[in-house]
Amino acid sequence: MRIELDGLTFDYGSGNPVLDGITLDMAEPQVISILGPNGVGKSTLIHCINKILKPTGGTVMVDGIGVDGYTLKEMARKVGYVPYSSSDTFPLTVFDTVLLGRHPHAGWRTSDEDLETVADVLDRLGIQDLAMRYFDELSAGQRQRVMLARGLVQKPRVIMLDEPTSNLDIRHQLGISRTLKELSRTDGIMVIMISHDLNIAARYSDHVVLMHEGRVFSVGTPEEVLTEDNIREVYGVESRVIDVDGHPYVILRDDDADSSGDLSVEPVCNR
Amino acid sequence: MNPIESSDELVTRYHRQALRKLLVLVVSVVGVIVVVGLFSVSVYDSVSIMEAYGIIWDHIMGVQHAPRSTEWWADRFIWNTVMPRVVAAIVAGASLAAAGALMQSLMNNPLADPYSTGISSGACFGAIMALVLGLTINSLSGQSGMVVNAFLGSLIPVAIVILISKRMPVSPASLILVGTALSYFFSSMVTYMMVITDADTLQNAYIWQVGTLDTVTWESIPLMFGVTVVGSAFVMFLSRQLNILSLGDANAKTLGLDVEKFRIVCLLVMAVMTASIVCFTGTIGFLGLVAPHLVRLLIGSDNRFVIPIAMAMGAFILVLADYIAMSVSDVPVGVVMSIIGSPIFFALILWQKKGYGTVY
Repeated sequence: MRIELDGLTFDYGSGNPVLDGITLDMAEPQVISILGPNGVGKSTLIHCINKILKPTGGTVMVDGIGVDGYTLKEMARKVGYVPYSSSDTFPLTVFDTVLLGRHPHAGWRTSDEDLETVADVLDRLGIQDLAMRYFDELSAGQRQRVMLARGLVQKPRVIMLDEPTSNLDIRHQLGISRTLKELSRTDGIMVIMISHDLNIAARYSDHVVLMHEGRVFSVGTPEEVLTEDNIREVYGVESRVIDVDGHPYVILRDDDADSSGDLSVEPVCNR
Repeated sequence: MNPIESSDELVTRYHRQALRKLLVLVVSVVGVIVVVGLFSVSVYDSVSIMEAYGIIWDHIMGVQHAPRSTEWWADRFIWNTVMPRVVAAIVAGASLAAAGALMQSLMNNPLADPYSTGISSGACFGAIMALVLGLTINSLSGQSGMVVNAFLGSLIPVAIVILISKRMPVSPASLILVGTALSYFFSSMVTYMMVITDADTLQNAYIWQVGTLDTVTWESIPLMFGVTVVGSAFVMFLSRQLNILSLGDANAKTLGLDVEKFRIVCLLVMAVMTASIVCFTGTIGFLGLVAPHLVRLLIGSDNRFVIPIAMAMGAFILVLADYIAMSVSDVPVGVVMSIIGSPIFFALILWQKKGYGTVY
């Protein structure tokens, strides 16, 4: 599986491009994290790959064929997408919501194989107990795992995730990230995830793409990309990067925080 | 609920849940049959309800009764006065309910109904033009001229939407805005025509706007029935895609659904389904909104079940409303449905527990 972007540009019609000439070559099973500040075009980049948006310039090739050469259904069999949020106007049960992910492969009827695939993925993500609950009754973190399950039953070769751990507690942040890494190893899937958590990205990614002002600022292993200089340049934040178990670990600093002055009252927060 | 131990058990449970939904379907179908019996007895009261069923069954089976026997008279009465409007009510109820469920999914909006793109106002415009000004296509006069006018009128809005779709994406919001704009336009034309006409025509025009089954005859049935069978089979075939659409346009695309093409095709089917009903019955409101919602409140939002069950529920509601309308004498069925339906709908919204969005 190979995804090649060459000089990709996109603008929403306002004249200032959100993506300004992105060139990237991603191949083989691995975990790739896309990092960068808000509004830098991370989601737009992903949407240009899976045909939600049509690039205004440059080319996007999936397995050597331009994305225009794919129907949406063909694309859905190769590239799965796990969004940041999902509509719940007419919510289904968790089981049925996940079952929708089988659509690119399914015929007219739902087969027992489809049902078993769904049940197995729910099991793998530890959300079997939610199966018969309605999607709109779930917490943000539970929803996120359901959407991940939907992406996994799609059995794609590439799965793209928009902030998959943003609503999760620390245990599930690690659990889901580990599951994604395992998927790349056991199922041979290329995992591309947008993240705001530099340390999750550093701990689990094989490669990191750091974006800045609509361009790729730096690409490489987490050690190469996550440096104090890069973080200062891209995010405008001071940090210290240390080594923990062979992975870079970013400690954020805010030297101005203590200079915001004392409170004029005595704050209370007891039990 | 017990914790679920194995994948096999989960699959079994899933199947069992589907089975439970069929119960609502059975109840609706039985409801239709009961009302048909009551209806027959109220029109021809010298037979019992069981005898009425026997007579209807015999007619369907092609049994001939001796001329001027009790059965012969009962057969004539029931078959010529009750059955056309009962069959029309069943077909119209099923069709409007399916169209409503379809429209709510297409728009991703619980407030949508078959008329949301302006179909009803277009149909009114056509019908009332025939009624008031006598302007019809092919200069057909009377009832048939009005039917053709209403049918064509109701297709104007969707034709405009399809033309627009070449220039801009057909999102739910743009559809609703276009529908609203067209409704205002046609309504003002209708108002103008109603202002300049005489009292009798005005009454007919009003009744048509509310919807009535009084004017339905056997001649109306084949078109309604044919379009409904083909249209609803098509909608049921697409119910899985409709479920995907409920995830929102972007997510639906990533699951391989060509959202815009799909929406246009569905709109066209829905417009023809609705037009084939409305042109005979007038714009029966509320049903397309309420029948799918009642079903969702009872069994959840899975369109694979909502659509067929809403059709049965829609048939039941409309037959029942028409039975009441006829018993009370001369009240248009549309009025009855709103008077009785609104409080029931309201109560269900208050008591609903789950399986529903946060819109209410």
